[in-house]
Amino acid sequence: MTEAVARAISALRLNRAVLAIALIVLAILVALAITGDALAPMDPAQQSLRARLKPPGFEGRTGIHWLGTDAVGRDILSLIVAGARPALLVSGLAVALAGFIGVLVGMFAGFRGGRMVDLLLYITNIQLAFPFFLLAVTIVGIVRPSVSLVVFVIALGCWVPFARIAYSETMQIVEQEYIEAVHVMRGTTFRILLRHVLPNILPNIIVLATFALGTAIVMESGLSFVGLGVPTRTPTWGKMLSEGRDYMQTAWWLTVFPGFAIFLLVLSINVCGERLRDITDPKLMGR
Amino acid sequence: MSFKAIPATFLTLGLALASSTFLPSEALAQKTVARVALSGGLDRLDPIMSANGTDLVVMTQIYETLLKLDPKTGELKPHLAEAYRLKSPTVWEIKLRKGVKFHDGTPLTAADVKYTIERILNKDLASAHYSQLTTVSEVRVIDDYTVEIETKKPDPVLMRRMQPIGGSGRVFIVSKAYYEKHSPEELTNLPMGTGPYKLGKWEKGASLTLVKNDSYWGDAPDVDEGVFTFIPENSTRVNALLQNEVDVIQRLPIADVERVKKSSNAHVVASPNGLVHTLLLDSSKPPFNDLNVRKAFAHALDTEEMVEGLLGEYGRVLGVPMGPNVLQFDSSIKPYEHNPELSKKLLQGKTPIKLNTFTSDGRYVNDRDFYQVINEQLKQVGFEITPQTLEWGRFINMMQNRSGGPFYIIGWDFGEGDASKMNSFLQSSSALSVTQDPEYDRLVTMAGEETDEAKRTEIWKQVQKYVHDQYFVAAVWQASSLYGFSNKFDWVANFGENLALSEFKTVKQ
Repeated sequence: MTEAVARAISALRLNRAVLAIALIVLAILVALAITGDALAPMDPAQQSLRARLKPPGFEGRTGIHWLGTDAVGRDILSLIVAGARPALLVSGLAVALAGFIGVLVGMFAGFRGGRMVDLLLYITNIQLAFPFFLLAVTIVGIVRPSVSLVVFVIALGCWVPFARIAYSETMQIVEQEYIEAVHVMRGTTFRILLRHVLPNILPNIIVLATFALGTAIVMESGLSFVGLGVPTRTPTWGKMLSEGRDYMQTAWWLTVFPGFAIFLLVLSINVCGERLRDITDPKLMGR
Repeated sequence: MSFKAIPATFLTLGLALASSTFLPSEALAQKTVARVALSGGLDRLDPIMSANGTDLVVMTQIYETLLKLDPKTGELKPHLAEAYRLKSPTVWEIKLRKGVKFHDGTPLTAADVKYTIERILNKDLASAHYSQLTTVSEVRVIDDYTVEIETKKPDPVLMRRMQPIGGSGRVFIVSKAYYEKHSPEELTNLPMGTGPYKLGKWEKGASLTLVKNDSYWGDAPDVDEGVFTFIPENSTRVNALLQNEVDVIQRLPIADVERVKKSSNAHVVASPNGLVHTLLLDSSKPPFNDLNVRKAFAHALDTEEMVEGLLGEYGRVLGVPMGPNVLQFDSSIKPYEHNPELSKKLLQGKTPIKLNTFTSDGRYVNDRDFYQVINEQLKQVGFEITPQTLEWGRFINMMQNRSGGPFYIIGWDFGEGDASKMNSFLQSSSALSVTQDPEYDRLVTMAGEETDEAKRTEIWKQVQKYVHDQYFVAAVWQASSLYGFSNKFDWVANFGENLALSEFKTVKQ
């Protein structure tokens, strides 16, 4: 008995430590995304063909390249710093858009029921059956990539869970007696959804959003990897990965560091998301 | 249990040793097989229809041309033709080699040559080589081994198009009887020519096997069998070589040269006569219809540093858009010098010049890096570039519609050694030309009709100077063609891009 308690306590401590680290990493990356290139040790766009493909720790004319240089001699550390903004901005906007549309559609369907539900399920099923990446590559391949297009495409890839959760939760809530009471008092649909349904489903949506953010970052990197990401002055993390692919055997630092940056960001977001879920889950209350 | 296993191991080991002692004699009887990894897949193996790079690698082993090039002098040498002469200013007479047989045993005759040329000129078929033979008006069979080709006007370079290198002609002689008997699909899938190798087995998408043609008219090659596989991914291709899965790889990336050199089982084969890369400016549209903007563009680039940095010893900067092996090459014209101050002055009041560009990635040696460096250097003098990477198939289609963007890189094989190749990207009538310049067209038409070799060279030198002064091409560099070879084989790569299985030599180890 005491042993189990001790294990639980140590697990809890470990969880806390992991959470703390995740929060710190996330805070740093968000700070980098806000400040942009300003915190980069060197100008990330500065090329130097004489210092191309140099390993971590190489001392160039502009200082020490702590994470080495890429194929045209840019500082990898500075590129990663500069890449935090597009990674977070694009995925953040995409999740916001997906959440907005998904919740709106889901709540409406849950409230109205009937035909609307069939339509919603029909559309989401089609979308889930269609490989997202194929869809994304087709759309971005036809239209010239831009920030808004990539945000739209990623949002298209992650709005379905929002709609489904919002739909099922709304359906349960509207059957409650207090909603009927509002009906009786002739409350408008808009008022019911905004004042009574939304606040009740919001915690779940926020938890979902954190996980969707992780997925969106991976999607953004994937699109960048195949050359369909947002056009930026310096390569995004996904683009760095694809550019470094040819040098994987001869210059590992081109792929390992940006890959690690993506991994770290997504992991931190997921750890935080998990904790958020635990907090909002009434079954786990008080832990 | 375990001590029972030990004798068994010894037994297996003994057997292995015993069998290995038989190996040398076995090897003598064994076929020499060269496994070649191509950088792309195969499409159509009909030499009349296809000009695709990987198709050509296979087709040049199966089919042959009338003439070939001497690697040392760059002069034309007999091949399927024994002799040729200019009978009158517009009539070429060609004598065919006797005793040449197609893979199906039928002899090569003058009728096959006539049929081949007429098939290329058949407009309904849309042959990939049609534009190269437009001067031909008639092909006449005189007897079984004599053909006459009549041209509409004097065409001194027609015979250069009868050799396989460089892609300005590639008139591979096909069998009339075979072509008349088979459907276009069959011809695409079952190539049959006079070459040192014939088609063994073609498993679409997986591999293609060529076997030695035992009744070949020329010298028997060292390699009995060639197995071609397709590995588009650069590092996978290199790994396949280093792990002995293949013996030869095409397009060895510069980044991996050191790895191959250091390995114990493979070496690098390089040919300086690789692709000539041209940075073409679309001078038919703004902003590059303005000579000063073209000039500013060219002087903004540090091509010397770029080529040194990205290609090292496997690249060279050129002053004119043609290979130094070209007979008319003018070495006195120097590349544009790096002078960003001059560029800024020329662009005063015009900046920023915004350009939406397209780039390729992986088509040419380090092309992505070249584009990145070029774009950054252009930014320094006031250009604003928004690049987008395109898949090559789509990109080349856009180039052929003259909508490939304001500037881009195309590589050209100048293996045939004649300046007229420049017309492919500078003459207004060519599909890939973004230059529409009447003066250039006038000069090269004059050169094309000049039969006196010395006078012709003189005109081509004038053309080169004109092209240089007009800044149609902002930068030119040549990259060596690099191959990775297993130490079991060696090859002297005379003509850059043209892999010749029959020239491989086996190396005793």
